[in-house]
Amino acid sequence: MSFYSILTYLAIIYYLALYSIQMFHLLLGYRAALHWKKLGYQAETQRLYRSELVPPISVINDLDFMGSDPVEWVDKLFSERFPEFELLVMYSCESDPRVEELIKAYFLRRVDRVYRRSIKSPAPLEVFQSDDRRLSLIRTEKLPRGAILNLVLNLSKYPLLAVVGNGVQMEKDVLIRMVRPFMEGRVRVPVVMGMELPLEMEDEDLLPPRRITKYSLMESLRVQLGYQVGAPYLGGPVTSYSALALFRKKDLLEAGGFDPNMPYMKAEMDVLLRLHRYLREQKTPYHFVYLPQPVARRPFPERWSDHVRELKARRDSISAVLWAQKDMLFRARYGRLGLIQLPAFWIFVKLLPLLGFCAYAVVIVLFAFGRIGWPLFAGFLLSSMAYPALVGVGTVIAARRELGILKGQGGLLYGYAFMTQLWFRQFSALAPLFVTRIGKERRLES
Amino acid sequence: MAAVLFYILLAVVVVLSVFACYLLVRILQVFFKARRLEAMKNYETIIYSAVRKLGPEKTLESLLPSPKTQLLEEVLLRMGDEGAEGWRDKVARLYELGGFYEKRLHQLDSRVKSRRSRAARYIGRIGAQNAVSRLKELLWDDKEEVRDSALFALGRMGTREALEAMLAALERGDRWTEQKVAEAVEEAGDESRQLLVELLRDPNPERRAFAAEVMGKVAGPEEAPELAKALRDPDIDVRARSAGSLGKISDNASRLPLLRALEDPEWEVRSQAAKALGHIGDAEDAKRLVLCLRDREWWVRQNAAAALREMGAAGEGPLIEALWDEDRFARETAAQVLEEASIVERIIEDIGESGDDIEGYRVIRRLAEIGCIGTLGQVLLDMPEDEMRGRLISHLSDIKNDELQTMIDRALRSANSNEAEGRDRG
Repeated sequence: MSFYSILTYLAIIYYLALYSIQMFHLLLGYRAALHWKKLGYQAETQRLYRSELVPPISVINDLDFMGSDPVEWVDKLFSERFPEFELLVMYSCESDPRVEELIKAYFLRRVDRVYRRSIKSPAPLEVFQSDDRRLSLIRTEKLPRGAILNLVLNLSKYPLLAVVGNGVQMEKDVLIRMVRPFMEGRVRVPVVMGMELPLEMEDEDLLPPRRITKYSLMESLRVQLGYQVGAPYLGGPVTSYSALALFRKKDLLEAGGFDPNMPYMKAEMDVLLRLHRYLREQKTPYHFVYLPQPVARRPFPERWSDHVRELKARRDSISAVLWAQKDMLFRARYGRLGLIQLPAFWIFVKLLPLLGFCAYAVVIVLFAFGRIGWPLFAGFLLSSMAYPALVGVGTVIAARRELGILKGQGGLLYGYAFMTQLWFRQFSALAPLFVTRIGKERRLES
Repeated sequence: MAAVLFYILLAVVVVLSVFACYLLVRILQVFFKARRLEAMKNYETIIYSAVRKLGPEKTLESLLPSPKTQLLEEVLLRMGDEGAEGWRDKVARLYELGGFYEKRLHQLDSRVKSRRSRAARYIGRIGAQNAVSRLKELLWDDKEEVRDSALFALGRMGTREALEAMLAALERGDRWTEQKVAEAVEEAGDESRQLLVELLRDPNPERRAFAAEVMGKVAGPEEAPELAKALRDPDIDVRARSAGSLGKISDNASRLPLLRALEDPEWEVRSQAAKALGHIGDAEDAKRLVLCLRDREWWVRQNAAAALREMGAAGEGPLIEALWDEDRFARETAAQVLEEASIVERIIEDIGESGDDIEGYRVIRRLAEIGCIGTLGQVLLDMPEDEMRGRLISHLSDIKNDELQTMIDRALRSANSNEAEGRDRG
């Protein structure tokens, strides 16, 4: 066997391993979805809204994340069926018409809040509060999101903290559905996340209208159902970002809170990995939960450039977080996470753009120069394109059957799932390598 | 070239064949689903119209002699879920006569966990009460899924025997189990009260704590003395939950034990006792609650302040006194509560209506001295009358607080610009 053939085989093995891992996670995720379905998760959870045993929640959102009509957003949240919760809205601009609107709509009054300083954080500049204390509007300095979240950790009253992402609209009864894993108590649950879908999905949860959004949805479904839902059963996910995450406040405080210098996505990813570290060091049995149910809708990319920018932000956050906690790698102290999950995450997620680019470049060049034959080249294409396309089709089947979305679009849907893995994913994986500068320039412009 | 064309055509044929198969499968799926639904609807109509007149035995013998068992079971389960008055027993009897009960009972011993779990759920949905002892055993099954299903099934039955069996599961110590038992207890109504009182004397602290908590929802003043006794329980959780429940029952006779609980060494108990006294709302307790504002634990101060606020006018006097307390925590917490209770706006309103109010100015000045100036700043800006604003500012201008001075300057600037605007319009 020639050296060139060995290189090609390595590339094939790399892709086979990557997508076999995803297929395995997908099966685990599917099993989890079935398990919850069999237990009548939805139906039984609905009964909780009358219960007094449900732990109360502090919901955190940023005024800039609430869209153009924050009053509507707040109204919608307050119409949620949940025994007890409060909403803390953060903002930094002193004269914002939306603030005035909220103050008028909910008769908020400025108060000097006395709060428990559980963690180091900046002080609030102004606090406006409704008479029933359910809504607080908090002005802070312009600070990284991590620092603001630490302030919220101090200001919040309740034992659970729901952190809402940019432009997120919550699904109906989402708080009641997300709180249940904290009540089950088989092992400690420090965080609960759930599936996110595009805001722009058409009626009856059909595919969104724009093409890039469609591809982006397919890719997102693969990541969520093909990794995040199943990963907790194998000691993961290493890190994750969800448009809506529910944390146990006590664990967050014990893990040291959010990194005050990090922006939003990075801070959340970082705290997840630090939660892993803390709980494993304490030898506490724990289990992250990623619900195989839609919990939130957020704006998905509508243009290719948006998609690449979002992807790059995610990759940058992953890199920063992995690098910051690199000492966990190959440490038996961190169990499966340190010995399997983290190394696999480095090889198959962090280094994927680089290794993928090298694999494609090498195999194409070798084939063009006649160093490898048709069978090997076809084998490479099958493992890097056709196999992931199967994973994509699998996620669509899971989404249709278990999430109850995308029903009634038949073959078209599988076509998108197939095509997404055939080209969109390959381009997406490589794009951030080439568009770093463009992305930065556009970000500066915006 | 010919070979390439052949392979392209072959690929097209393969794709078309796959697509055709897919369509065929979909059509068959829809067809069978429609048939299934139609058959189920027929069964349902027959059962609803005939069971009352003929009884379960004859209905099954004469009208449904050879039904499709799977569909009939599904129909009966749905009817069991609906649980209409007077139907449950008949549905359970039909389920038994159809041989489903025997089959599911047998499956409770299956080696396959999904079968055990499914059987338990089905029995629970039908409400077959003679299966309680078997379901009770499943509460200790190795598999979580099965244990949950047993809990669900027992909860659906809701008899005393089922409740007693469920209480055994409390030892699992998770909130979800407590929730399921609490639901069943609540649905059982008065019958469960005595059971809970007995449970308060259980040697297991987890069970006692559960009983103490659930009694807050189902018990009345008659059971309050039992909860008051539980305030002396050696377990913190039991004491704290008992205090919380006494607050929910709101019986005036519980005040004394709750006041004693304010001396408890554990802050969880003190904070719940303070909250409970707020719910009861007796004015005599306000002075004692003010002392809790000095507590070293934030939650006790917070709950005591909330309790005083809940008391309304009765709580306000002691809160105002607490503004001069030597303890910083007490001062700040009292100030926050008074601010939240719109004291600043009310004082300004009183001054506007009845002239100078020395006590009112004294309170506002004290709030400003403490540094509680949020509402004050807003009021200064929003105040329509310049004369009153001037008087208020003159009362506050000597206080050394940069933020307050900035607010006063802003208020003055805003007043001047309003005046100029008025002149321009004039």
